[in-house]
Amino acid sequence: MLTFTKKGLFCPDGNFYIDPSSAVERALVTHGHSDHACRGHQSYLCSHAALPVIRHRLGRITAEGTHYGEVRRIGGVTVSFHPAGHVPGSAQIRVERAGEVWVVSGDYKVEADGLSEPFQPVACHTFITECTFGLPIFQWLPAAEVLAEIAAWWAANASAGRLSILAAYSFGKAQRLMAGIPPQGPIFTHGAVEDVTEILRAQGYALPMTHRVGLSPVPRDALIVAPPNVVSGDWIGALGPMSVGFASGWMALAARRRGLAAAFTLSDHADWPGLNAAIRATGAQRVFATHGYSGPFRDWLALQGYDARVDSGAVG
Amino acid sequence: MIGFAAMLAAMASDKTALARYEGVPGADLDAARRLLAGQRPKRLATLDTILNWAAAVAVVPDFLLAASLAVSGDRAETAALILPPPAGPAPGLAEVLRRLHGATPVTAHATLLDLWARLPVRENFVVNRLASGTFRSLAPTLRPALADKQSLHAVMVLVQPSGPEITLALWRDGATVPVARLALTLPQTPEIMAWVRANTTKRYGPLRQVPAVQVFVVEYDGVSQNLRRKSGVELHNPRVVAWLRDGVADPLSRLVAAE
Repeated sequence: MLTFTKKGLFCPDGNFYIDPSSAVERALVTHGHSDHACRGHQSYLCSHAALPVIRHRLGRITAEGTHYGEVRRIGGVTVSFHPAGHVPGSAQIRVERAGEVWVVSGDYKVEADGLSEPFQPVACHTFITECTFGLPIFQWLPAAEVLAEIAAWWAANASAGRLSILAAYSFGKAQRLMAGIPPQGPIFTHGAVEDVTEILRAQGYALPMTHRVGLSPVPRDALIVAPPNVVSGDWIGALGPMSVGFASGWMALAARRRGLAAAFTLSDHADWPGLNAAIRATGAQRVFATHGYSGPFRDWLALQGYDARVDSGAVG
Repeated sequence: MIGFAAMLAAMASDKTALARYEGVPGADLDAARRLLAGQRPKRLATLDTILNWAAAVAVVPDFLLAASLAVSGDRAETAALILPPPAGPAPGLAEVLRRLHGATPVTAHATLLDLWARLPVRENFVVNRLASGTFRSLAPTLRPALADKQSLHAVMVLVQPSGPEITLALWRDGATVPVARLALTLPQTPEIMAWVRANTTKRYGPLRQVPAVQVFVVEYDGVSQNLRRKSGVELHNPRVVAWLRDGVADPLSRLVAAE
């Protein structure tokens, strides 16, 4: 039903690609991160909730939104989008032909983050799962504990007269943080974060008040949310005493935390128990592992009795 | 609650950090002071033994353990990370040290299993260092470890498809600075090259420029100053050991500090 090709997952019966990495006629897109929503396709189909950010990032495109759960016929198959819990608007894509069901997970996490539409398991025969953190060393603490840790860091900085700067992807992680951290002062943002935040706020996502850095003075008890590539540069150099924190699943590793003033293990991807639980919940017999430690993860799934395979399309 | 791992790291770097731990029982503070002054338990088991014991508890097969160790790069840490989450109240540092001082190589296994079942991951990392006699390189959350391999996370900026070879860079002032050019031999190389083909932004002869978003773990044996390089430093024997999808590259300052 779906085949792995150089451009990405292809459905011959529907003549469409899912998250293609180079220009195609028809693309079904799971979410707005740049490695999934690429430029150059003739038409895009994504969830209604994902569409505004995708339009913001890609400019003038021919795109259509679909509601979660809405069933559409495309050529010889039917498709529907289902919440993936990764970022606002993110989706898994279900493809059915004559009673046979495949589900493409896109990126996902199992724990609800209070902002993204929570992950819903979708029953299928074949599940194509990401495995970014598909090793048993990746086990997340409940997000509420990590957010409380971040709040304590922010409060300690504020009482010492230091700005708190949190490095986070401008779409998804940034908004999850600002919505989830118990507030200790005002929240300021880098322009790249603020642009996306305004779009999501206009869509109705519950986001706190934020201020764009540069438009008004930044008080010392503020939290600034900025993309990782600007926090070690001139942009923040002029702001005075500060502590810079990073929030990512990779911060589970001491090698990643070394040299950082503050590091918090918080991810928008499923951890090891999450991946295993999500796969079980689909009831799938056949599982393809992509995007991550797919080799060992495939072997692990095979050991659990699945017909387990890796994304082989990029080969050759 | 702040665990003793964070407390030890803070105390090792800043003696005044004690003031931040008013709520910690006096016995645990005293234990931390004695430990940092050098009163460590003797070695109970090797790191390999500890790692295998943890893998048995967590029911992690050998091939997953090997893949995990390749990503973490640290046996004491890998052993801590794969364990299931703790149940029941965590013991304080004083009790942990009392148990470790009291253990022998014969009772070490039972002692570790009991501590592991009650402690969070960062604290188990400390326990594994203490039990293996490698605690001095725990401080590593603060200083580069002496015994362990060194690694950093660098972002791919240029690719030569024949080979293939990639140029990796670190961030400085919002721009990338190349630090190493090396062969790409990972199992995911075909997937990475497909991404490169689809995302090339410019060509310079045989080289393709790509957006600086794909992050790799680079291990190296050392670093020295080399002013002929734009970064000002040179890595010794660098090699790519893993691809971090959705990773974040390090700032150059971290490497320069290691030099």
